[in-house]
Amino acid sequence: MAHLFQVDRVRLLCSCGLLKPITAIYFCRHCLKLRCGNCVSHEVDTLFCPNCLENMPSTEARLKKNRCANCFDCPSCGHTLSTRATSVQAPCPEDANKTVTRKVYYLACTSCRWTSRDVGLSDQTVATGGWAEQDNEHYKYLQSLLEHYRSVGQREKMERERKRSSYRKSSYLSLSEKYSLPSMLGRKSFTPFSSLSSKGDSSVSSEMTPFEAFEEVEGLPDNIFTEEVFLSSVTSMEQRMASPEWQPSETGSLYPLHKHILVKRSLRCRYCEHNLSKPEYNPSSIKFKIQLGAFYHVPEVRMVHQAELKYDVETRVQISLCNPTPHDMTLALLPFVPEAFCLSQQKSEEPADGGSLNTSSLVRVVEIPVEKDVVQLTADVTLPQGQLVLSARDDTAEYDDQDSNANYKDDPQVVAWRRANKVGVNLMVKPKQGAQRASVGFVLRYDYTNTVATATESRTVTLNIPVVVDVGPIVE
Amino acid sequence: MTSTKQLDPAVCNVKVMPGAVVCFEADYVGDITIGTRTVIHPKARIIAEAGPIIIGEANLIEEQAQIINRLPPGQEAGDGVQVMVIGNHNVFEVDSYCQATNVGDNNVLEAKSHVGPGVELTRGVVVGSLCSITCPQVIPENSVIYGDEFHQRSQSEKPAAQGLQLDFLTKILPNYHHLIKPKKKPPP
Repeated sequence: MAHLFQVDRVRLLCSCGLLKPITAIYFCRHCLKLRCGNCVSHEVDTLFCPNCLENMPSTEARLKKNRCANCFDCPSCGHTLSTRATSVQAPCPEDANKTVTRKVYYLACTSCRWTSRDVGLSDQTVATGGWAEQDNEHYKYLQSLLEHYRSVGQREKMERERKRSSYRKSSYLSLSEKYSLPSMLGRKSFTPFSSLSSKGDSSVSSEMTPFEAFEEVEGLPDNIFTEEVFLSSVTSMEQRMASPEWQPSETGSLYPLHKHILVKRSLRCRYCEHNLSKPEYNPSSIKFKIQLGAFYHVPEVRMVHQAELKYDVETRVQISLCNPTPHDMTLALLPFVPEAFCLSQQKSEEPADGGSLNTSSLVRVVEIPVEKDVVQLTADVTLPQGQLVLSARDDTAEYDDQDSNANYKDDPQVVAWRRANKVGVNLMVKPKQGAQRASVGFVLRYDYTNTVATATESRTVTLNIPVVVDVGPIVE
Repeated sequence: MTSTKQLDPAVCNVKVMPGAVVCFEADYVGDITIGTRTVIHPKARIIAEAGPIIIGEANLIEEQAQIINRLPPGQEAGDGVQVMVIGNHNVFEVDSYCQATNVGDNNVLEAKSHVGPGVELTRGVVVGSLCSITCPQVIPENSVIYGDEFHQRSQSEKPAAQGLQLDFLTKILPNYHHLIKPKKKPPP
C-alpha cells in the first residue's frame, strides 16, 4: 500500500517489449496478451472542447484549426478565461441627458488577473461570442501557399494514377485501393475535373516565387541599445509561441487564445482488431464502453514493505498479490531470464504479424518502430516454490466476519498473510554489487479464466507475465 | 454566555475604531490599532512583537491569515520601534502570511501566500495563492505575482475593492462571534 502513488515500482513486460506499470497496460482478451499504448492503434472518436464540453465534427474542427469558437485561454498564463459581468453607465438612447445601467461582459483570468480590457478589447453586451478576431497579416500568403500545395498534390496524385492504370497488373497491392469504395467512386468523378484544372494548376504554381536567401540582414534599430527594457512589458517565450501567427513581443498585445480542443480516442489491438478501450461518445461522460485494462485481468503485484537492502546480503521482502477477477486463480512465481524471454516472444509474435497484414480490412497497419526496454536485474531473488491459490474477488468480503483463511494450506514461510483476494508473499532478495537500486524479476504464471463467450477451447488458460519489481535503494 | 470576555491587557492592547468588526477569537499580541470598517475573522493572528501594528480602513483579514511585526532573527531592537503600517482596502485571504512592514492600499494577498520581512507592498499588488516573496524589495504598483514560478506582470487597474463582502460580513459576523468593542472615548 505504501507504493500506491509509485506505480512505477512494479512494471510488467508488455508483449511489445516495453516495461510499463499495470495502469498503463491493456490486456487483450482475444489474443490473451498484454498490450500497451505503444503497440495498439489509436483512433480518434470524438473531438470536444474541454471547457464547454461541446463536441465538434472533424471537418468543422479542421476549419476552426482545432480550437473552440467560444472558449478562450489566457494569453498570459494559459489558464481558462472566465466571463465576468459588470454594469456600466451608458447614455440613454432616447434621452441624451439620462443614463441607463447596462450589463457588459469581459474576459478575465482568475490566475494572473489578465483581462480583455488589458489589450483594449471593448466589452461585449452578450455573454458569449462576439469577440473581435485578430487579422493575420500573412493570411493571403498562407492561403496562396495552401492553394499551391493543393494543386501540386493533385498533380502528383494524377501522375500516380496514370502510372497505376498502366501497371494495373503489378504485384503492388495497396490496401486503400483494394478495399475503400469511396476512393474508387471519387476517382472516377474526379478525373475529368482534374484534367481540366491541370492547365490552371501549372499557371498557379508558376506564380509562386520562391524566397531568396540574403547574405546580409537589416541591422537592429538604434533605440534597442538606448531604451531601457521593462521586463514586465516584454512577453516570455511561452507567451509568444502560444500564438504562432502573431508572436507578440509586448504584453500589451496579448490577445485571448481560442481553446484547443481535445479528443477522446479508442484503442484497438493491432493483431486481432478488437477494441481494448472505447470511451462513451458523450464528452461529459468519463465512463468507458470497453475498457480492458490489465488491472481487471492480471493479478496485481505491489511492494508492501520497504526493506533495508545491502550488497550480497539476503533480505526478506514482502510483495502482495491481488486477484481482480471473479474466478479463483492458481498462481506460481517462476524465474525470469530477460534475454530468453525476449527471444521466445519475438518468435511467437512474427507469424501473427504477417497474418494480420493480409486479413486486415479496416485498420491501416503501420509498422511501428521496434522499441525495447533493456531489462536489467540488479538483484538475485529466491522465489517460493509451489503454487498459491488466490480466491476470487468478492466485494462483500470486507463485511465478512469469519476468517476463510483456514481453507488454504499455506506454507507460513512463503505466505505472510492472506486477506480475501489478496495474499502477502515473502521473497528473498540479494542485491548484486555495483547497483544503486535493486530490481528483481520473475514470471507470474497464473491460470486465467477466459471470459470471451465464443471461446471454444478450455476456459482456463495458463499465462506467463514477466514482472520487474524495483525493490528499493541499496544501502552501502 | 458571558459578555465579560476581555483580552488580557498584559498581552495585547487592541484599539478598535467604531465601525470595525474585530472578532474576539483571533490571536492578538502587542499594540494593535484597527481602523473603521475593517473586518477581522476569528482565528486570524496579528502579532505585534517588534512594535505596533496600525491597520487602516476597510481591510478584510480572513481566517488563519497572519500579520506579524517581528524583527528578523539575530537583530536586536535598536533605536526606536519598528512600526508596521497597513493601508486601506487590503485583503488578506485565508492562511496568508504577511511580514511586510509597509503595506499600501488595495493589495490582495491570496490564499496561502507568503510575504516575508523587508518587502514593501505599494498599491494594487496581488500576491497569488501559494506565491512567496521573501527577498527584501519594493513591489511596484498594480503588479500581479502568480503561478508556481512566481511570474510577475503588471495590471492596468487595481483590483476591485471588497465592498459588498465587507458589508455582508459586518452584518453576519456579530451574530455568531464575540467582538472586541471600540473603547468609549472618555467625555472631554
